[in-house]
Amino acid sequence: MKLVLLGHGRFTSADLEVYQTPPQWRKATRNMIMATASIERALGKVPGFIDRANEDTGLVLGSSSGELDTSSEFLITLDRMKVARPLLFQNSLHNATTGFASIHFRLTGPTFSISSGLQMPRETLLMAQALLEDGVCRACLVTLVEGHRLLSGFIKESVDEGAATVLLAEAEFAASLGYESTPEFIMADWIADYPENPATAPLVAISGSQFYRQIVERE
Amino acid sequence: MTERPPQIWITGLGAVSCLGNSVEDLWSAAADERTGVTDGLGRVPDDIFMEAPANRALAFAVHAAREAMRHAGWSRLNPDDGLIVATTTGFFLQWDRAFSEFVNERLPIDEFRRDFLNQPLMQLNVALGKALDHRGPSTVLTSACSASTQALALGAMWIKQKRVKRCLVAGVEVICDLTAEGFRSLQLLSREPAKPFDVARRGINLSEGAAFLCLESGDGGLAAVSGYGFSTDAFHMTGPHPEGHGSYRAMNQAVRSAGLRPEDIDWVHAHGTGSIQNDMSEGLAVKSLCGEHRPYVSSTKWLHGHSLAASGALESALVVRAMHEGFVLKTRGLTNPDPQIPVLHPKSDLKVSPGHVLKNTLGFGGANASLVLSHPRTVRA
Repeated sequence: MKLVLLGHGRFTSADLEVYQTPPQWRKATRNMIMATASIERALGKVPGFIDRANEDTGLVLGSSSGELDTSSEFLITLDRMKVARPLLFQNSLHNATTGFASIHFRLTGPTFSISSGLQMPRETLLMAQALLEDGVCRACLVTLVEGHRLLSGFIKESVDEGAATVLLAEAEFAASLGYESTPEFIMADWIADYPENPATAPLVAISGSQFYRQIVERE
Repeated sequence: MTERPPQIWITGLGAVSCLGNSVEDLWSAAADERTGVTDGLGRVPDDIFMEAPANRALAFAVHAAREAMRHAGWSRLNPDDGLIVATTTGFFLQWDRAFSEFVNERLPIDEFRRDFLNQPLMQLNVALGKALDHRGPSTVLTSACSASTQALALGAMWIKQKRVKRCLVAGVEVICDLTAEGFRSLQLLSREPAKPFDVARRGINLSEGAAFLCLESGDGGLAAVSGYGFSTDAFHMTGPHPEGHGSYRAMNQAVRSAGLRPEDIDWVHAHGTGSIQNDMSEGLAVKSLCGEHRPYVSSTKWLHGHSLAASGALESALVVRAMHEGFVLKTRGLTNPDPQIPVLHPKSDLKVSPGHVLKNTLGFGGANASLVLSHPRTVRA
């Protein structure tokens, strides 16, 4: 099956410092903000796409750290104040960012959350490919997000954060929506694993991934 | 001519649950109407292993994996076999303890780092892969309560698309402070065994365990994975769509992808957690799907509790066993059906052999997933 790249976007922790976070995101975690903003940038390349192809569009979101920062906050609050805070719990689930993004963009197609360590870029992209080949969806957002400010602080290491998204589609489907001259997506150029770094493991720096660098090159 | 995709079969089952350390224990408890839930939680008893396991998640997983592989006649996993694990907690018990000790300054940073390295959900998969000597494709799905239902479908896709020859699919979950206190904070837990679809239902019973299913293509097996569907509510972070719109779409896709019509479904094995919102939403979704055709709808959460990411796999294992015993199971814990939920509840376990069963899961984050599991007699060669 021929896949095309309809859009791409990324968001860094530096972006987060200047980003005008919408008021309705006041309960969002760093991962939620970074992932959702990167998806927004990817979708910005194809205005109106989601309105036309909502149910046909999937979302595969991969994160190694997931929401462990929020899990840490939940456990600290529980330990020190003897209070279990429901907001921290709901935000601490590994798929909370996927849920948040789906609500923001009103995505009603299939959404998958995965955690595959250093293989994350490969597994998120292969998951999207599997869904597209099977016909479960005809376009798919693939997002990597790594936010771990609290965790990296605990181990006294600086590990960069951020999110990166691509919007893939079956070529035929893209053409049917009028996106005819879009570049083919060459999977092999994107799927290299995160580079291993024992100094920061298990935290991974998203900027080290080929997936992320491919997006930087296209900006 | 287009090549017809191969039929994907479930050929082996394994389970560790609060009801025991085998699928047989799970089935016996169902037959005896014996719940594994105590004080609102479904904990796996330590004494079902030779000794209390140091790492519960890994102990559950290895035990259930070996049972499933024995059942399927798999002596080992080959490099062209896949392993897909669904979990929301993984090694969280280890991480949780180390974390608590560290923030209270009882654990030096070097030791914390050592345990911290064991933190992600992925580490369960890594450890399990080592225990089973697996070197093939592998991933971890974390889509909350729908994760292992998604994993079963993904396993079927991997085989159809020839990424792997066979696939071992798992759901693994442990009860830890994060989930136990977290669900309590959302006021979703019931101290009594859950009462799915009952007018007096009060909430869920959190539980733990592991369930493994062996998938492969071929001429036959215990049951076929004949369809699947997925959708997202895009409605609320933890609550389902009140009218079940998302669940309806997932079920509808699953039935259509199996080449069936809703009236072909004999039994809907519901997510049926016993929470007020879930059961109403899911019941309305089933009604939307089936209309005047009323398949039996039941939940078995009273027996084994709600094992979150493992629930789809654990309950699929139970469904396959029930299918082979020739039963549609009633909803245990249901005495006074909620009249607002318009589904057909079997009044007792029915000695009828279901041909096609729709297995539902609804997860936090609005993730819905459904499978159609089919009896071998209904699958065309």
